[in-house]
Amino acid sequence: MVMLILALLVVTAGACGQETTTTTTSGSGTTTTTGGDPSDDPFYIEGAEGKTFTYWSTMRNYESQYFTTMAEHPYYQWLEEKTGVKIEFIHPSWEQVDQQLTLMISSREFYDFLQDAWYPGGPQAGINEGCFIDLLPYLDSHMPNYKLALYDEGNELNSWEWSEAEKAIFQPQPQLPSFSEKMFTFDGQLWAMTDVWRDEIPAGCGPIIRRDWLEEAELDMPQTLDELEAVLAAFKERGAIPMSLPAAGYVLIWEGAILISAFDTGGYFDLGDDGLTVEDHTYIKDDFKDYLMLMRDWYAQGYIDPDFMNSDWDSTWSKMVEDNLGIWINYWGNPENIMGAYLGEEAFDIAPMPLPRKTTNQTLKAKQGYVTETTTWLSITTSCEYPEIAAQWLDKHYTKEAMLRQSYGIEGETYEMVDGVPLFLDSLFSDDSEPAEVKQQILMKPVGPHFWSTRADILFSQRGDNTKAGAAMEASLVWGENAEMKLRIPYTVFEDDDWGIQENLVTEVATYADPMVIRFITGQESIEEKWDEYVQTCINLGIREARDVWQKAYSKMLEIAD
Amino acid sequence: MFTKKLTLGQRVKLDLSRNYQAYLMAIPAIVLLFIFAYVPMYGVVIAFNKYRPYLGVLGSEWVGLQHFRDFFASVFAWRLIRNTVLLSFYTFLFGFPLPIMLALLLNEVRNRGFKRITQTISYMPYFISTVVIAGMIREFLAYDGVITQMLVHFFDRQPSNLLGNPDNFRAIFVTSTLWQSLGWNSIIYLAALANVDQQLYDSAKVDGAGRLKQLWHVTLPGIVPTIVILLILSIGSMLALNDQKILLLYSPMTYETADVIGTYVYRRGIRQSDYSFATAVGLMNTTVNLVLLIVANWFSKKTTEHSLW
Repeated sequence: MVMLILALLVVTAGACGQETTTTTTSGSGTTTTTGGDPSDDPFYIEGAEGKTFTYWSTMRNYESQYFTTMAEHPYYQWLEEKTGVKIEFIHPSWEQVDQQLTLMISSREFYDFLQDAWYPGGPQAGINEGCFIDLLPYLDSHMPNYKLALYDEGNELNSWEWSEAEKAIFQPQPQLPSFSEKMFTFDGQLWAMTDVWRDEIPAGCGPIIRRDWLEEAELDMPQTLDELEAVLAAFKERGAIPMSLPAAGYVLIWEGAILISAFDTGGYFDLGDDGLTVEDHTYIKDDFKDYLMLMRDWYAQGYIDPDFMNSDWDSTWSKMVEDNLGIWINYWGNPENIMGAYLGEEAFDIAPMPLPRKTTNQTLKAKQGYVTETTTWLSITTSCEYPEIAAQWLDKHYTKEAMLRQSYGIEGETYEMVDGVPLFLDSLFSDDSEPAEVKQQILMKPVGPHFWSTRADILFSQRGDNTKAGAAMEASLVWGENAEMKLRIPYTVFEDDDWGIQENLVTEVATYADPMVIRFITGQESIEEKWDEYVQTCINLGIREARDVWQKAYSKMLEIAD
Repeated sequence: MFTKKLTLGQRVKLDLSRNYQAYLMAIPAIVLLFIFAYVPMYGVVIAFNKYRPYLGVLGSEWVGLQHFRDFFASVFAWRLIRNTVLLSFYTFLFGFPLPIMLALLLNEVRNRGFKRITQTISYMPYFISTVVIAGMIREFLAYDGVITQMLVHFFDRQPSNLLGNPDNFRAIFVTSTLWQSLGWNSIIYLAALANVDQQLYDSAKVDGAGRLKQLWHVTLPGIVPTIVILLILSIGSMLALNDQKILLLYSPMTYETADVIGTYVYRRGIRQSDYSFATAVGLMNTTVNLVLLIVANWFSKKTTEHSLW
């Protein structure tokens, strides 16, 4: 049985890179050049005609409901028509990803494109051991559009999308110029390409508050910790749980940083003010001690869910729908949550709450954004027979025309140009057959790395006003107020086993520290008496060594970027 | 009786010709066992090297006992071993005899309808997925959960999250495991009980044995071979805890009693594809189990004449 599966896999893998005729595409297939010199066509790729590439990638939720393969996705059909390149998709299920990759590595037979493949041992090993090809030589010669997207901040694609009025409302900021560094290995090789965000997007995570309760208590939206405390007291009067604290296991990172951010620490190894040094882990910072003392007081007052250490998302959710929770933490665009809450009973009114600060003139350093996160990456493998054509095909995703197709769809069908700015047609939203973000995914967005338009996302949400997307965007704008993203260490590649080394150290520390943190908050251990001992234990367990590993890797990254 | 010593070859030949149908039928099972249990065994080599898929199982860098040393170097190693052994031991202590008792009790029930209903209800939880079971436990034992509320009302206790208290974890784990598996595990004993010769009961009655006497002198001896075999097997799998369930139930708050070898390896090894480390710890666990199995079998052979081999 196993043998059979193995044999099948090898056979399929062996087929990659060849001009197979068994393509699953249902589009017209042949090209298109519109007369004249073919090199005038921005999508012309020399020798691309009839070539087929294999593309290994998982499918997103919505897509798997609509397509059996991404080759059926309108974007890829459009691109095939434009370029003449056929793509044969292979979609592993989420659970199979690691296993299939390991099998590919063992057999040394890869698909042409691997998406989101995390090579065991790191990207450099992926190149050295002959899995990924180094894309750097192709960047200059075959990927001019991608290069422009990465490096040229004056690129006209960076500003043309926004009308003046929109700029005033959304204040889009140019993307941090860190993308160029992301996909480089230590030896300065380019192991993958990634999506490029057009503009910085608002925060990705933050608190939600019961606005109706707030109004009944005749209180304003809390801005500072003091105001928040007054609100919590009022919520407690109602007999409800005033606020949930992040579920156990995530006490510090991500959601935890919402309340910690007022204390200028981000829940992990913080980046120093100079942008060069990696500071101590939040676990052992004095700021964190202050945070814990406040949480302890609030816990004693009954302001915090007495069950917080055991709550997971489901239990928090059920407390919320049972009308029993005042403030909780939410992710941007998490489908069921915001929509369900917004479209619920009329009396059930919620609103995003700004991240609480110590004083109103504090600018928070720990915003929860997605900016430094790479969402997808794509590598070309050594099994690919025509890497030049593959590189050029990928590059086409970053042309202006492709960007319009990815973000706005088809001119005349889904959008129109008004004063040089693309606007969605009403017809796109007038039929309610699908929620807006589903339409966006099944009509436009490719599965892999692409040029990502923040404006299109916002427009989508603004147009479908009462849908979750509208609420989500409102929320992320509120969460992004008065907050910068200074504490998060930008994407960092680790050398050899360093990633594992620091991960093991942090796991070891967390095994000790997480229960201690809960005990501090619940008052089972005295912060005043035990804090020093706690910090010392964390240090003994290696939290500083882990920091040094981060520092080493991050310094190296800075060096490469120079 | 006529006895003539046959050579080994002759005996095998005789056996094969007599029982060839049985051997034929066993072939699929043997092939299956060989492919899934013996072929993958060479993979334990990666417990002793730094496994990289590219270099392969045999080609990866040899590190000897490094992963074992890593495990024991952890300050939590002792706590992990203690928790693993205690949780396994308690599960065994209660989980082994109770199904026998349930089966014996059910065997004494004369009302067939009641017996069947009881049996069905008792093994129903076995078919609920562990994830759902864990969800139910979390829900029931929460601050405002059903069981917590019952304790508050009947025993006048302060409400608290029962699952959040490390002192409760072992009891919760063992009790819920029992609830889940009690009925199911009793089925095999019920089957054994059905095979006890009815004539023995009749003659016991003639001899004037009451119900308890019958139980003690007829029923129990009748199922002792089954009990012994299952005892040996469950000793042999003692340290194979249901890590998945612990993962679903524990929290940093209860690491003190709930963090076992399997969950630690999960946090440390699996999440970052550290296959070698995970294999090393798994190998260690299996070895201990194998030793336990052999010892139990040997002991049982000495004392009861029943054994696996």
